[in-house]
Amino acid sequence: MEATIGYLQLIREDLLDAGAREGRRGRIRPPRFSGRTLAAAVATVTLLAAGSLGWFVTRYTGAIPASEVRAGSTGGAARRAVGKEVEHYRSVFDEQSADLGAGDFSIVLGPRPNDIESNTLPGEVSRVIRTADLGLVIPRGSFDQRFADAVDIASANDGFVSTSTSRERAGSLTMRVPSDTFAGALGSLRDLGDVQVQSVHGKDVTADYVDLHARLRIARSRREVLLGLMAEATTIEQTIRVQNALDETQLRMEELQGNLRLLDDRTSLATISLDLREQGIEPQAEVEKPSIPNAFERAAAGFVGVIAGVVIGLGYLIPVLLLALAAWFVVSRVRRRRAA
Amino acid sequence: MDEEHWDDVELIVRSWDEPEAFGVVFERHAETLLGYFARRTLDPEAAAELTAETFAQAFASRRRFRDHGLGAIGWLYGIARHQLGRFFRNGAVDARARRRLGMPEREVSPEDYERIEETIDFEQIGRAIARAFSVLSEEQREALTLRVIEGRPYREVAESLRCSEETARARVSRGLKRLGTLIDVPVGTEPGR
Repeated sequence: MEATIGYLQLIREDLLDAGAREGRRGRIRPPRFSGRTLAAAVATVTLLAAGSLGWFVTRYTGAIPASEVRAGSTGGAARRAVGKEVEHYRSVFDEQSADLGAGDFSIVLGPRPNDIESNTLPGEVSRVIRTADLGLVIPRGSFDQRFADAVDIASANDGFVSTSTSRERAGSLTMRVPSDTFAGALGSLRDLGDVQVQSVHGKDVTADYVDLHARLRIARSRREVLLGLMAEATTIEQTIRVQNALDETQLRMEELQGNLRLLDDRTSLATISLDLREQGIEPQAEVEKPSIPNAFERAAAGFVGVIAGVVIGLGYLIPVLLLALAAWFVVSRVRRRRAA
Repeated sequence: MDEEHWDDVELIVRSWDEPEAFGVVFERHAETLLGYFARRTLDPEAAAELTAETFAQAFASRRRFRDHGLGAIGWLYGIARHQLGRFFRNGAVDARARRRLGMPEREVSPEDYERIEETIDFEQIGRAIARAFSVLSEEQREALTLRVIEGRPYREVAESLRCSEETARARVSRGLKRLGTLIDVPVGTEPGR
């Protein structure tokens, strides 16, 4: 059908002329992708690049604070982070372990302690439970020797090995040493290899100790009173009632004495848990029992981690993209001017 | 010619490499589109230019055409609606696509002007407007009569209606908008909708 309006015929011819000019300039192949597909692809690639960059940045430049790196983590990055921090905490540890008579102290890989609590009571009543965890990497082929050395260190410090386990070129042992030799023993153990994980805890139980002693004193006084009453009892009923109270007090005294003995043991002997493994041996991963709350926690952490990674990555990418855009704009303008 | 038997989608795809195939699409739909624009703008010159710009835009972007179920006619009227919207917003017909293609400016001859006018059924439009006008509220009718038909300034419209100028403007504006909505359907239906 021919267009009956002259204007339309002219437009039709103009369009065909435009087509002919286009043909002379060379046929343009139809684009494989539409604008939307291309935009979606660019957005996806940008997000993936941002995510990867964010992951790289957080892993290798320490963008995530050390407090989020769990000591004893099996990850390589975690070990590297721990290595950096160990030097700092080693100096802190040296200062603090020089005076182990102090109250609660805690040296852990993670947030630096702002204040070390201390509610120490004066003199010989001070009681502190000391524990330490030490992870060492030792040279290849030296496991048996270093394991034996660790046992010797326990003995040399008037201590003993309470438990030990070993597997191929790696193992762990728990030793008890007198509190007085705790610092020395720990220092000797550290010299056995490269410290990878180290945490030292001190728990002041002086208040508990004093409290138990006071209760024991009261229980003893009560027993003395009851024994006096028993001597004065004249009827069977009175005797039985006093005897019951006496039994109860005796039981209570034994409980208190048991607790005191336990505290004595734990405060007079410090506990050191030592992990030894040769270079190239990965630490045994803790087998975590799957649970729904744990799964949700990990899912939430993963979600936040991915978003954080993308945001961090975008922070690096956006300036680069803006610069690239500015460069493209300038180049295209220059080209257009030259063409004009 | 075989092209006469092809459907619009086939013709547009073929026009990627053979631009003359687009000429068949133009012949099929140009007059209908012109009538569509003429009934909406009531301006033969603007309608002719809008038709030219719509086809220029369609020709320039024919390689991006994808049939999403509406066919070529749906795509074409999508561009037409876009052009019409720009025309109403800017008060002028866009010419970017024609310039990009290097198309010369064309004048609408007096004969063409009359022919385009003939495609506008003013009688039908008049009836539609009268019908729509009667549906408006009394206040809006009075405001439109004073301002649009009699052409009086807003100050006088406000005095006659015993309201503020802002209120008079609001009544005229709302009345025109409502009128536009009411007369849209009877004036013409666009193909492909």
